Amino acid sequence: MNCTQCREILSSGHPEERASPDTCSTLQAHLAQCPACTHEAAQLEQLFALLDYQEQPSPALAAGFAVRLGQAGTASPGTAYTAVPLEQTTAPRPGPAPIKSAAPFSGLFRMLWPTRPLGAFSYSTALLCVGLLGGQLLPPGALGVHTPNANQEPAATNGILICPVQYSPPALPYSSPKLLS
Amino acid sequence: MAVYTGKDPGNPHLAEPDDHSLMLAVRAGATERLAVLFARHHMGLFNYFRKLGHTRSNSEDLVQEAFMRILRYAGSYQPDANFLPWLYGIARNTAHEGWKTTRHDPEPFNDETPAAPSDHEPATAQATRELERCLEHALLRLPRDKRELILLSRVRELSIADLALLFDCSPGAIKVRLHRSLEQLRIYFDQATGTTTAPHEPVAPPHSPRQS
Repeated sequence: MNCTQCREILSSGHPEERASPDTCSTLQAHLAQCPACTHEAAQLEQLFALLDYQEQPSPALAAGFAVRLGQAGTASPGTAYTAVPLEQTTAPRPGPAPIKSAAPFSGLFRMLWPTRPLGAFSYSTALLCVGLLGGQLLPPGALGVHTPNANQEPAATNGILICPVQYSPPALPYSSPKLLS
Repeated sequence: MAVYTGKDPGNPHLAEPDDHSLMLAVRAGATERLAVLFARHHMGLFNYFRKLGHTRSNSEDLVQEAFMRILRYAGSYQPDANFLPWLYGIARNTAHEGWKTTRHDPEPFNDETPAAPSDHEPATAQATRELERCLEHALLRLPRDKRELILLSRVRELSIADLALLFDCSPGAIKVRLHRSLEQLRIYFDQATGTTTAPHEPVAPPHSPRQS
């Protein structure tokens, strides 16, 4: 076994890769004569030991779960787990599938959008201001929207009569002395 | 009935039926059997969520949520399924939705990390804690799928075939991805600790014949 093969096994990251007795003995033989690979193995072992370190959860976790389990059991005895429609799939894909948004750019917007509430508020206010200013600065008809003049003659477009209408408030049917005074 | 043959001799649930039998019982309506599964696996799930970058309180919530989902989706557990890959599949989905709820990636450090085992001398304990923080930093710099793969590969009972099933790819591809992820983690870890990697040529990832 050379150093490359040794490191390939060392950094495979899964115990299955080192499980066979042959591999194990060959690896040990190489490590006994190669200080560099021994150093590498020690570093990897340290990393794996840190990865395997188990932190203790608080006792409240088990107590909280016992309460929730009891509630689930009493809510619908014996059949609590059937309350939600199940995914009847033969493939062992557990749990609900991740929800994908229908909007094609929602991921991009979510990435660009600030996460903190104050940032989101400032961002939306700025966007609103830009929209309002843009609307004010654009010349009439720039976006292809026809804004008719009051003096313009009626024009027929595709069979639809477009009439400029001058709005005047309707006259009150009666004059109330109380309102006018 | 099969008997649980976990590797932990101190486990009080050693004489209980194995996970698969318990899960089938839960599926059949014996909800209280889930408590045994919880006792066996809540620690592993808690540490999985913690190392993914969730806070302690979030991780505890996610463990509870994952087990409640087991109850909810018990009907989808197939008699020929393996319990642990199924459990960790649910845990992965729960963690993903946990990110959506918090809507931000975790802070690299949090002060909730408890002290390392107290049987060490103070200086050693401090050094261990520092290394843990470096590992936390390094893990959080990894893309989430690589982080998940590394953490799941450390679950003893999950085989490469199980991981391939979880990540929806071939066992050969899992080996390559795991190798690359570990290499990247080592680089980040060395950067965090301030050490340099051994002056050796980079090792090629294991050959991966496409397997289905």
